[in-house]
Parts: sequence; structure tokens; C-alpha cells
Amino acid sequence: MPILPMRLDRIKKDGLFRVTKLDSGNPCIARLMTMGLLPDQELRLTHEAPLGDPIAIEFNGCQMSLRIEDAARIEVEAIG
Amino acid sequence: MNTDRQLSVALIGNPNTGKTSLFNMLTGLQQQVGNYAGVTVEKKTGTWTLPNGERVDLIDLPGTYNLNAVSLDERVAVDVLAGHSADAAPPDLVIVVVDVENLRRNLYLASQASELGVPMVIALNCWDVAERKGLQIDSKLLEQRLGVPVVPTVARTRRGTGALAEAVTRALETRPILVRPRWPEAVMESLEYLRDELITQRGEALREGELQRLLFDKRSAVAERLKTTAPEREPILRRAREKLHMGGYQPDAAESLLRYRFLNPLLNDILERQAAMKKRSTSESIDQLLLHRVWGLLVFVGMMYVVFQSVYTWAGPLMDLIEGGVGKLGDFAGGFLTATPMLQSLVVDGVIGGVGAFLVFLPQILVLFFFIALLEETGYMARAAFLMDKLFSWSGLNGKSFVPLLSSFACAIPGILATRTISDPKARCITILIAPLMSCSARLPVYLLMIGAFIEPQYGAAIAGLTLFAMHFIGVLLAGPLAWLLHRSLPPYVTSQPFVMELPHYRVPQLSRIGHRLYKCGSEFIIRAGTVICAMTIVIWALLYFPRPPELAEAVEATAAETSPALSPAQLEHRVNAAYLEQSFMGRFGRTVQPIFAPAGYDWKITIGVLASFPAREIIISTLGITYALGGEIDEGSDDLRTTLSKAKWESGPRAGEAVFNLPVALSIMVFFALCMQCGATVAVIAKELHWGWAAGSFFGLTALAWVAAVLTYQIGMWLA
Amino acid sequence: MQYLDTVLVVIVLLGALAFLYRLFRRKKKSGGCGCGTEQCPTRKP
Repeated sequence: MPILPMRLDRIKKDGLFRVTKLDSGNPCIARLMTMGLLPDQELRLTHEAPLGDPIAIEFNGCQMSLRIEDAARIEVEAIG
Repeated sequence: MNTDRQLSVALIGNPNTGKTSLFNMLTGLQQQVGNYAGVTVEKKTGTWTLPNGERVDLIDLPGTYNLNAVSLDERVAVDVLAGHSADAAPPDLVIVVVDVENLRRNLYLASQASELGVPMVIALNCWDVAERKGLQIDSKLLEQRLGVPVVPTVARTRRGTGALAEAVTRALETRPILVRPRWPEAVMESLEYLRDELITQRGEALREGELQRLLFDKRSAVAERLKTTAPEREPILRRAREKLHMGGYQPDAAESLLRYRFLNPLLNDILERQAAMKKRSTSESIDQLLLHRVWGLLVFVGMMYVVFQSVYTWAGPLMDLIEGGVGKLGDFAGGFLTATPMLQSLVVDGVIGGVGAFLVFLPQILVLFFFIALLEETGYMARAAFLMDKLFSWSGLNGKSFVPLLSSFACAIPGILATRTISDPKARCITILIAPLMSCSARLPVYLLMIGAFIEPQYGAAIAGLTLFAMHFIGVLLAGPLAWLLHRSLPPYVTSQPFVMELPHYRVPQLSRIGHRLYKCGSEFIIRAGTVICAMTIVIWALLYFPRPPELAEAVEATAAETSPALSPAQLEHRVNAAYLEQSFMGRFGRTVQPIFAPAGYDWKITIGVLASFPAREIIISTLGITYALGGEIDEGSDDLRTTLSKAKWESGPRAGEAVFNLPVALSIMVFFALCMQCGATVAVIAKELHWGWAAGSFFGLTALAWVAAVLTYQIGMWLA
Repeated sequence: MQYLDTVLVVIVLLGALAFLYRLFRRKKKSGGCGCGTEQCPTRKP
């Protein structure tokens, strides 16, 4: 079965995902990249705020929150 | 080595690494806190005595994740490390404080810092937490690979500080530099191009690391320090980034990709054990509750309820105590100064009364800051911002604005000080500017007086409560659109910062750190009361007191003796005081300015009250007390003032003989006080936190807004009635 | 006594005015926020 890339704002909680593509022109994403969110990095969606925005993701042992509009510029694939 | 000046060592690290704890421990109480010139970035320096007896200056740089020089904190860090800060000597060594749990990300910062050419020692902090979690990091191996000393430390318990001091002493001699990445051809060429254009041709003083910042960061603040003007340097920077792009690297992504590509092989096997334990952390389990859609919100609301309830209940007795103390002090000083009546009035009514009214708020501020410090130290504050973000994002604010705005309902000053936790300068600026619209507790006496005199007797307690709520709500109602407008119209230099926020691991708060913060904010408040507030109170007192010709008192006494001989000496004194007030500078000014407030239904006495209340809202009560010939010692519960107000009649003009205070006037006064910036202290704090221009703008803007709203309230009210 | 009263009050008033004047003038001289842009008269740190 081919693995379909999906946008980070559309993924379900608790699954394990791998980053495939990032829009480094977005300042939020550029910031996350300096913290180690790079292609092939594994991440989990840990929390969603009450209205579904922002979301919290966990990678490399740290939890970062980001807004949905920025999450939409990150593509991931499910790995477990 | 340079021996004629004291050596300086800088501390740098990500937020939440325990960097400040380490700083406090190394310097003890020998530290100075100030601001870097012109910005609200806190500058902390201290003296640290090394084992060999040498004393070094220790600089605690603001916590940052990287040196990309976007936020103020990052700019300051880059400038200090590169030796371009006017406020701090270029450091001889930098200690990078690294959280063992986030080694990779923390070493990214270290790697960026090493490009600025400063010798380095790495402190692996939170070693105990790592040990407890079964993390084992071979610090000796790390040291070999990185080329700089690596010392495990536990800042909370002083563990490892001896070793750190020794490593620093040695490193000051050997000057070790962290291994640096070998950049690919495209990067080297672009850097070479920049070096040629900026350093060789234009004579700029730039280090290698600063050239990298200019190349890799889209809008680097380093550029703004160059002598080369913007129109000249922009094409150069653009050209360098184009070169990088043609070489196959996306300029915005290049540094992260390349630096991690360099760091990862050094760290991967060391971090292997860390990867093995990829289960849920305790923090995450706590967050399952605290960030839950329903329970998380309930806990949050409950917590806020407790915080604000405590601001009133805990602080209440202390405030009474201060009030009582101020009263006693006034009586004591008054008795002491009976021989010099003018000085007596200045000291008792002016200084003690005015500064006392300000100091009364100290307990509330301390209680509020205790909770803010507690929530921040535990790591909950970031969660609160996470939960609240959506409510604020539409108007350009973010979740971090919530607590400062809520605090402003107690008092705008701690609220504005609390905005220091907002890292986005634009959101911080907007939050500060709308904070005075939140109805602070100093407005309460005004509401209570007006509602007690004109609404409760006529309409009952339910409507009175509703009015009180409405007065608190009107500011919020206007704050939203105002924030949105500001967001749209703020000048572009107030740049917005991306909202990415770490949700740090929960920690047990350290009482000593909370105590330290309370001490700092409390002493700042008291100093403020003793300086600016005190001076302003004296000036206002003079304007209300002078001129004071003795003939006036004689004339009043003579007329009183003719028309109403039954007056008691106290009542007579009140009449004399009222007459003096009427022709004082402020009184004359009030009469001149009264036409401006006429559309809102105010007579000259209310106008004086409003004008005199600009330094602090509460003053209107004592001013109305004096003007309506009751004497200054009046509080809002006094029935006398209420009945006098309801009996007051227009003395002249088209409405002579009619009652001054009717429902529309009372509402109009309340609305004016709800919106107007009648607080000298807030203006001063805004000026300190932002800039005098903003403070003036906010003052005039909110006053104009209040006037318009008050006039509308009165006119609509009269039209309905 | 009245003379002493006047003198003391004048001293206090002048002190307060001088303090405020110094405070405001110092702020005015910097006149910028240190944001680092061209229009801003205060130098970036």
C-alpha cells in the first residue's frame, strides 16, 4: 500500500508520523526547523486545544505548540 | 590574555534549562538587574569568584532557542557574544547551559554561538532528572567529540558547580572552541561574497558568525547595525541568498539542515539510549487532563477563579492594614505640623494621602505576582496560553495575552508588567495598549458611589449589580475591536513574531525563585510610589491649594454669618475650603474647561473632579467631597456625600436650579471613568515598558474615547428620559 | 512661623517639579524605543 502524504493539520492524535515536506519560507516552520523538525523527523500529535487550534506536537523529546494555519504547511506520512 | 580588566563570562541557553538558577547560584546575591539600553530585555550581571580567587563578571543572557536574531532576546544575545553591545563587555568565554533531555536542540544553539568565535564550556544541566529517567550520557565522550569541556551540573542542588568553576578557570587559559561544521561549497561562496562586499569593500566590522546570520536569516537584525544603508545592503544580501539558492540550498532551510547534518553524527550513538525510552512522559500524562477539551478548560477557569478571588480575599486584610497605617501616619504627621498649616496640608492631604492611596495596592500586586510566578515556574503558563490562543488570534494577539489582561481587572500596572511574558513584540504592544480598558479595582469606588447614590435607591439591588457588571464589561467590549484596529495599523517596525511555543516539562517550583521575583516586583512598585507618584501628587496638591488669599476666607465667613448663622464651625470650614477650591488654579481651570464636558452633563465641580483624577481615579471621591463642601475626608460609603450629590443644583446657566446629578449624568461619569486613562502610574509604566510616545498616544486616545462614550451616554440618556 | 511654612512648602514643590522635569527630559532625549529601525533615534543595543 503506498503511503499517502498528508498535512499535519489533518492527522489524528497519538499516531506516529514522519515529516516529508516543510515550507521553510514560513517563519513558524523556520523556527521549528532550528529546533530539529526536519524532513524524516518523527513526530506525534499530542494535544489539540479546545477549538482544535492550536495543536501540540512532540518530537525529539520536546513538545511544541503551533497554529493550524502553520501546521498546514507541513506534510507528514504515517508510520505507525 | 587581557589582564587589565575584569574577565567576563556569558551564560547562554534555551529557555527552561535552569540557566537562571545556575546564574543565581554562581553569583549569589551579588547581581545587578537592569535593562539593555532602550529595550525591555532584562540584563542581569553578577560577580562570580573562581576557585583561584579570580573574580569574573557573569552575564546572564536571555534564554533563546537559536541566534537567528528575530526577537529582541536573540538580537541582544548575538550582539553581546559578538562584542557589539554597548552595555556589556565582549565575553572572554561563554557557558552554554544545556538541558540533557533536549541535547540535540540545545547543542544547535551552542554550535551557532561557537561561530561567533567565543571560547566555550558546556554545562549539562538537569543531570539528576536525566539520571532519574535512566538517561545516560557519556559526557567524556561528548567532550572529546565537541572539543570543549562538558560538565554535568544540577543547578538546584549546587552539584557540579565546583567542576564547572575549574573547567572555566582552565578554559579561560586554553580558550577551547566548539567544533564547527565544514560548510559546502555554495555556502562558502556566498559567505565569501558577503565578506568581500561588506568587510573588504565597505569596512564593516563583522565576525564570521555574523556573516552567517546575514546570509541564513531572512530579516536579520544584524543587518540593522551595519553602517551600510538599507538600500545599499539589501541587494547585497539578496544576491548572497540567491547564490545559495543556485547552489541547491533553500536559504531559509539551509542552516538547520546543514547544522543538524553536522551535529547528528556526533550525537546519534550518544543519544541512542534516549531514543529507546519513547514512552509517554509524566508531563504528557498530566497534560491529558490539563489540556483536555472539557476538563482542561474547567481546571483553567477554576484556577483563574481561585487566583482572582485570592487577589481580593488574601489582599483585603493587608490593604485594610496599610490604609489604617496611612491614616494613623497622617494623623501623627498632622499633629506634628499644626504650627505650619500649609505644610501640614501638603504632607497629610498631598503626600501621605496620595502615595498612601497608591501603596494600598501593593498587597494585591504581590498576591497576583505570586500566582503568576507559581504558574510560570511549574510550566502551566504555557498551557494556559495554549488553551486560550484561539480566543485571541483573530485580533493579532495570542494566548499569552490572557493572563496579563485578566490581571488588569485588578490593576493595569501588574497586568502591564506581566506582558513581559509575551515574546511577540507586536502582541505585547497591543496587549499593553488595551490593558487600561480592563476595569481595574480603583474604578470600583467611583462605580460604588454613583450606583449607590442614583441607581440602587431607585431601581433596586438587581439593577445595581447589573450596572456594576456592565461597567466592567464595556471596556472588554471595546478592547476587542481596538486590538484588531491596532493590529491592522501598527507601524511595520513593530514586527509580529511567529507563534510557536514550547510546552515545557512540568517542574516543582522553587520557592526561593518565587520569593526572588516577588521581592523584585515589590521593590520596583515601592520605588515608583516614592518617586514619580509622590512628585505628581505634590504638584496636584499645589494646583488644588493655591492661590489662597486670606480675604476669601473672611468674605465667606462674613456671608455665612449673615445668611445662615446656624452653621457649625466644621460646616463653616467646609464652606471656606470649597470657596478656596473653586478659585484655586485647578478650580479656575475646571471652570474654563467645563464647556468641553458640558455635552456629557458635567458642571464645573464634576469637571474639577475629573481633571484632578487624572493622576489616580480614586481622587475624584475626595475632590467631590471638598467641592461639595464636605471636606476631603470622605469615602464612597458615606451617606453624606451621596445625599449631597443628589441634592446638588446647577448654580447658573440655562439649567439653573435643576439637579446636577440625574441618571444619565451618573452613567456618563461611570462610563468616562471606565474608559479613561486616569492613572498616572499606568501612563508611566506604559512609557517605561514601551516608549513615551505610546504612553502619550494611549493617554490621549483613551481620554478621547472616554469623552465620546460619556457624551453619547448622556445624550442618549437625556433623549430617552 | 508662617515664613517657615512658606519656605518649606516652596522647597518641597520645587523639589517635586525638578524631579519630574529631570525624569521627563531624560526620557525625551532618548526619544526612541531601540527597535533598531532607521526612523528610531535610539540605537539598537
